[in-house]
Amino acid sequence: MASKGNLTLKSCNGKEFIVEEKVAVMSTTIKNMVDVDDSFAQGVIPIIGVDGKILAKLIEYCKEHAEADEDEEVKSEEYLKKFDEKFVDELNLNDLYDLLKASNYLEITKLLNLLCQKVASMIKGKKPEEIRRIFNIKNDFTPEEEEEINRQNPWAF
Amino acid sequence: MVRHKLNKVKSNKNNQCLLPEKVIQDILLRLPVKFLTQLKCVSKKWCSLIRNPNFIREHFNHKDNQACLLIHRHDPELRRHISTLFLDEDLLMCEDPDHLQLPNCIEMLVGPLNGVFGILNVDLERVALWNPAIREFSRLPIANANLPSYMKIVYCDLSLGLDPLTNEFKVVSIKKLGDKETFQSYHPLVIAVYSSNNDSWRCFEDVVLLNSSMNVCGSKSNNYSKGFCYWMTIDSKKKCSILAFDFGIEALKKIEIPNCIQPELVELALYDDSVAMISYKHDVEKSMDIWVMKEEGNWTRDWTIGPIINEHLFCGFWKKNPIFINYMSLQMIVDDGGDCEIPNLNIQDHQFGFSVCTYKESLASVKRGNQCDGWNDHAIIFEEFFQELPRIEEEDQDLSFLPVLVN
Repeated sequence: MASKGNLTLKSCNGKEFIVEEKVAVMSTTIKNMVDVDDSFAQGVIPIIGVDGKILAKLIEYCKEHAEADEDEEVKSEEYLKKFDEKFVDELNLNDLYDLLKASNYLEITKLLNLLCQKVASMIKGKKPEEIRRIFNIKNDFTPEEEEEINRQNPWAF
Repeated sequence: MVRHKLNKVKSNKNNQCLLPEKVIQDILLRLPVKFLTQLKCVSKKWCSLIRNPNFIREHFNHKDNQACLLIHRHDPELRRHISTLFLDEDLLMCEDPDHLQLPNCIEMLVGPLNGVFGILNVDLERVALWNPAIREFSRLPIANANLPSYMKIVYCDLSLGLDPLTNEFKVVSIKKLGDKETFQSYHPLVIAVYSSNNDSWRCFEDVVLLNSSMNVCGSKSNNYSKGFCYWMTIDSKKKCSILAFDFGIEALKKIEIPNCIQPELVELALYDDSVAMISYKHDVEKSMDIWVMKEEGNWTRDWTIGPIINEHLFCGFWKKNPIFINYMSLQMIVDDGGDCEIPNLNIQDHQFGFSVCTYKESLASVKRGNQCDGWNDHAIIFEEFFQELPRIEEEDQDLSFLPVLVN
């Protein structure tokens, strides 16, 4: 069991992480759970649908940002910016998607923004076919419908 | 590098998008208008998302949708209007993008409001809405179809606004009608309101607040804020006040201004999203006060700038900094009272028709009702709008002896 001021988070594949409360509550979802039900603060908080690898990544991110929020001198804005850049650059696409889904579910707004920004700059300038492949989207337009839509905006291509 | 990573994506047998809809929306909000227009054909879901009014509003207000300084000017050498867009906040780089250029025969360009401009043709009759970012141009119906044959419009002022309930565009015009031969003004002025909702104009009069003994002038760029648009009026006793049009109830109201503001030396503008009066003072040196109305009828002098050079003419604001045009250059007064020159414009001479505004790209459609025009139709509508109408009645008239317009 976590000591006072710490919380225990359990991934969907059974890995447990003991983290400081200030780190865990960067997730609005966890914060709401702890605020509403005191037993979560004492026991183990299950993080549904997030595996140990991704949870470790989330904790790494939240730890840096929680510490920076507490002491700006040790972790400056400049430092955080570099940390963020490195953090997203080292992700492969699977991890990027898993982190996006997890930070969306856990409502870690800062991280969600960072990752959305990363995907946005990654897809900028790509053709619609490529975008469909990147997100696994089925084209449900008939060829005629697709042509009609594009015909309305030839200037954009 | 990205391509390499793409191959590693887990195959998804369910044919389901790899990310939740909310996340996809969050990603798309960060993309530019032109690219989003290309992405309409990705899927039906994406197409309806990119056309969704809430998405359009969030996209417009997103921090990644950069606000740019846009300058309209008339180049006397080239004899045409030029629209120049600054690409950075520090106003170091600019270009004259093709899609922001306009033909010469416009009487008035108002806005932008949510990325959309209102245009009044030189005939003072034809009005159009224009969203250059998505290349949409929509001509509105004519407001005063029943004008008696002996009358013509001698003056028209235009404003753009939003319906506070539906958030759709509305246009309001103030028209002064006059006798075709004598130009004698008729009392009162006609107010016409166009609603996108029902694609029609409603004309009415307000004899008390708006009659032909008054001079009406708008601001040099967008004059809509929080449900109202504003004009300045000067009555026959040289008394200056502000006329506010409420887009919700479609009615005018009068707002008094501080007594110390002299009517002949004042301009109306929006400052930090509040209505403001830019008032020149000629004491020993010329200076300028910015009066801001934070609440209705409650004016505070926010800033006094001076001394300024006599030839300086106020053009508008970039962020909260006033921009002036001097003979050969454009100058911006910065917070500490100093000024900096805005470079790169190659201003040849004192130019009229000069205005500055803050422009942001928008996905907002200006197509009317069941109008379903593709790009070709758009180009034709655009061209037709700017074609001069034949002036049959006036062809043989020598207008030079006619009296000056009665204001």
